[in-house]
Amino acid sequence: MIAGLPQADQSLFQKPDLFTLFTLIIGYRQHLRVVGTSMEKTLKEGDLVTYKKLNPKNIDLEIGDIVVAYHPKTKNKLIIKRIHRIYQNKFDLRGDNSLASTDSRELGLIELDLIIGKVDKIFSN
Amino acid sequence: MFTNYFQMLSETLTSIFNKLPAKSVHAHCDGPCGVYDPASARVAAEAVLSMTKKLIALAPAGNDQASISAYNNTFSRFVAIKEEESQKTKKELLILWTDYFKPEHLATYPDLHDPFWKAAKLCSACKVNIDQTKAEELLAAVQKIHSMFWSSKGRSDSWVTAS
Repeated sequence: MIAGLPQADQSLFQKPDLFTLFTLIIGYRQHLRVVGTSMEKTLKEGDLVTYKKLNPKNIDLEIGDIVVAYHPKTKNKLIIKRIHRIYQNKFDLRGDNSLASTDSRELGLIELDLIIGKVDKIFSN
Repeated sequence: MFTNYFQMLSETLTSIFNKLPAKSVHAHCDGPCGVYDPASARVAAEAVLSMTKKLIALAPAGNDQASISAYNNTFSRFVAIKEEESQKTKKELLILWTDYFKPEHLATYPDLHDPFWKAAKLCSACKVNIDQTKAEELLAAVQKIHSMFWSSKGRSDSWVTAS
């Protein structure tokens, strides 16, 4: 139980089960290591996350979801933010730690094409 | 028996998992480092004050050509350094102002823009003049920004000068 986190986020924190570990180790699933503090206190530096790839036929993104997206400027860097608002195919992504986050307030709305997946598991250190 | 076996297997896999290389996903700002510290502005502002004092105290050793040349050379160099450090102070302050501080900070610091604007103006004044009062005011302005900056991070780092 992480104090102060909403129920939806609590369920993302897990100890990896054998199946998950196996799929991660053989490379069937991707995991990413969080760098930076813009998503504190949900995500700390060094946390590992896995994400569910976005299905183009069934976009099931909702406000409050934590997503992984390509940086709109560099395109070669992945960023992790929370969906703050949705405007058709554009997303207002924000860091939970708003005072230390550069997000849609400066980067502008993020196109759906840049979002690659939704975080479904967090392995906190 | 089986419980122990699964536990050992789980621990082994977890250990392997933790050692797997992982691609980074960035939860930080647009600037690649995200490291901000008003110390850079403080050091530059201190240099401005130091060079201003040295310029005020500078005088030719004599009336001969060699003394005048040496004086002019040193004076020019000191002015150049003062100019450069003033500009550096302004640059460092603008980075804090425009990159670190966010609109949300205005709720906590409603007069956020004022000290930065005044400090930037003082940087210009220190370039234009040899004015110790202005240089001291600049350092005081940087100190105010230092306090605001660390307070915004929930810290109270003390103000320590190098000189």
